[in-house]
Amino acid sequence: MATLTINNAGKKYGSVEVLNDISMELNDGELVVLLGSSGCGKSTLLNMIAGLESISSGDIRIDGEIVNDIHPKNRDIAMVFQSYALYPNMTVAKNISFGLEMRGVEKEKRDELVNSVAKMLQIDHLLNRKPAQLSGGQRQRVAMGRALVRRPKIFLFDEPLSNLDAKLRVEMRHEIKKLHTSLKATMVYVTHDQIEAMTLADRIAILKGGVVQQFATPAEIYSRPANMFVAGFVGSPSMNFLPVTVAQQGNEIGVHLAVQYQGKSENQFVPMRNNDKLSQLLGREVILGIRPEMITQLENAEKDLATLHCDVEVVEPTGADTLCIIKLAGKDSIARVSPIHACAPGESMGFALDISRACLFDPVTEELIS
Amino acid sequence: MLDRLAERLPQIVVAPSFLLILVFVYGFIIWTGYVSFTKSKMLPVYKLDGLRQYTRLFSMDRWDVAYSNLFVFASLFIIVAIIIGCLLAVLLDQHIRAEGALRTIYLYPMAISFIVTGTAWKWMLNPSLGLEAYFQSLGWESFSFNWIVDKDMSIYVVVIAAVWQASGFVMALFLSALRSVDQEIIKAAYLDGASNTRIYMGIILPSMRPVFLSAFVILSHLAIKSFDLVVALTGGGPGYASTLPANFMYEMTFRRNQIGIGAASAMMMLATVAAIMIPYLYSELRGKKNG
Repeated sequence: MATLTINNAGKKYGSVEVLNDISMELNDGELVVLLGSSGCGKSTLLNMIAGLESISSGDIRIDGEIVNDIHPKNRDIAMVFQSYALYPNMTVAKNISFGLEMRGVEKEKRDELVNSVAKMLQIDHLLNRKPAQLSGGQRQRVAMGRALVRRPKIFLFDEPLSNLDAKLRVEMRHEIKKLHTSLKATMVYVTHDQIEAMTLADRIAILKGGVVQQFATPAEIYSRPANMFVAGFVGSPSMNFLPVTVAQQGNEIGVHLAVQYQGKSENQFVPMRNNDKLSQLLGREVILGIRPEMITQLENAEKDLATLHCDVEVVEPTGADTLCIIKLAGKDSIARVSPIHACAPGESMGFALDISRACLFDPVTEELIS
Repeated sequence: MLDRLAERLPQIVVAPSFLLILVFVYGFIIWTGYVSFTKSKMLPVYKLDGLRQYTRLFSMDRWDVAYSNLFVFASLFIIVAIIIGCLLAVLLDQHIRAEGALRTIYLYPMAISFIVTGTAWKWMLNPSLGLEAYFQSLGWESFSFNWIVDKDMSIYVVVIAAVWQASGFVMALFLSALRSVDQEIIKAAYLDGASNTRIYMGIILPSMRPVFLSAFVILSHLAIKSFDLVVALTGGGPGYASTLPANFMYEMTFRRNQIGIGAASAMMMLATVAAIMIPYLYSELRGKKNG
C-alpha cells in the first residue's frame, strides 16, 4: 500500500510550539500508534498527516512524495473520527458511498463496493438506516466502512474507540486488529489508552509536549522505556519508581532498599547483575524502575531472585492477581502476587524481586541509564 | 396538608396563566368566531345571521387584495429572509475577523420596532426624498425607484423592509446552529473530497432541519401579524394596494363599524394559518419520533 515518512515536522500556532521536530518512518502495512495524554499534540500530528492542519516546518511524505501542499482529498487517506462524524442526514449506504461519489465513481461500482464493505463489517442489514437509529458500535462500524470503501493508501484513526463502553471497546479493538491483519494497510492510530496502544501497534510513538519520547515496538517500550515518562505511562498498574543509591557489598554491586518489616525500617541490599555499567555508577543516586509483576510472592519464584520481607499495607484483589501495596525506599510500591499467596493487610510476607528486568533512570534527566 | 399542597403546587402556580390564556386567547377566538356569524356593526350583537358576513367579505375587492397580498408578502418574506439569513450565517461562519461586531450589526434591526423600520424605509424609498432623489442628484437622471407609490409594486416594498428587519435574526439563529455542528463531520466531508458548497448544501444545512422549522414558525407568525409595518411604511396605499388582512381587519372593526366583517376576516386569517401550520408541524414532529 504505502509508506509514510515524517521529516522534522513541526507545528506552531503563533509563537506557541505544539509539535517540535517530529520524525518517524512508517513501513508499508505498519500500524503505528501515537500515544500520549491530552494536549500532547498527537491529534494535531494526525491532522497534519490528513491535511486538515498546515505543516509549519519540515515535511510529510506519502510513498516518498511530499504532501505538504496537497489537498486532503488528493492525499488518498481516510480518517475515522472519535465522534464517528457520520453525516446525519444520509443513510448508512449513502454515508459509506459519499466519498466515492465525490470521486466520480459510477453508481453500480459504488453499490458493489458499499455492499462488500458492509458485508465485511456486518452492517449490511443497516444500509437503509440513518445514523441516529444506530448504536454506538454500529456507528463505529459505519465510520470504518466509510474509510475502508475507498481503499486509501493510509488509514488514520483519531481515538476511534473512546466513545464506546468498555466491553464494546475491547471487541472493536479486536476488529481493528483483524482488519489490519487482513488488509495489511498502513495505519496511524491516535489514542491516550496505553492498553489499546500496546495491543494494536506494530510500533508506538509516545508523545509528550510535542516531542516524541520514544518510537519503538510495544515490547521494547515496555521493557526498555526511554525515560521515566514512558515508563510511567505504559503499563497498568504503572511502574514503581524507587530512589536508591548504587552500592557495593562484598564483590557484588547492587542497591540498598529501605523496607518496612514488622513495623521497623530495615535496609536490605539487593544485588544487581549487569555489573559493568553499574560499577561506574557506584555511590550515585538513581531511580530504580520496577514493574509490579517483577515483585511477586516467594513461593514458586525462581531460586536466584533477590528476596525481601516486608509489611503489606493495602491489599487490592483484581481477580487474576492481587496487588499488594508495600513501602519500598520510602515509597508506596505495588507488588503483583497470586491471590492464593496474598496475605491480609497489616501482615508481612516475603517477596521475590526480579531485579534483572528492572530499569535504572537518572534522577535529574529522567532518562534511562540501563 | 403540607404534603398535598406540595403535590398540587405545580398546578396552582400554572393555573392563573392557564386560565388567562384559556379566556383571552381561546375564549376570544370562540367569541370572534361567534360574532362573525352575526349582524354586528358598531357594537356586537348576538343574534345569529348565518354566513352573510362571509359572503360580504368575499365580494369585497379590498379583501381580495389584502388576502392575496398576505400570500405574496408572507412567502417572499419567509423565503428571502431565510435565504439571506442563511447566507449571512454561512459567510460569518468562515472564522472571519470582527465577527462579533458584524453579528451585532446584522442583529440590530430586530431590536427596532416595525414602526421605526417603516418610517425609515418610507423616507428612503420616497421618490422625492430618498434613493431616487439621491441618485438623480448624483447625475443619474434616468434612475427611478418609485415602487412605494406604484400600486402593483408597493407590497414588495413592505417585503424589502420586513426582510431587512428579520434576516439578521434568522442569521443569528442559523449561526448558532452552524456552530453546534460537529467539526469532525466537516473534516470528514473535506477528506471525502466534498467542496465547501457541497459540504454546506449536502451535509450541514440538511442536518439543521429543526432550525429551519424554528425560523419558519417565527417568520410566519411575524408575517401574519404584520400590521404596524404596513401602517408606517405605506399606510396600506397607494389606495389599498398594500394592505394585509390584519390591516383590513383593523380598518373594518375599529374604523368602519363593521365588527361582523372584521370578525369574519379574523377567522379567515386563523383558518389560513391553521391550514399551513398544522400539516407542517404534524409532519415535522411525527418525523422526529422515528428518527
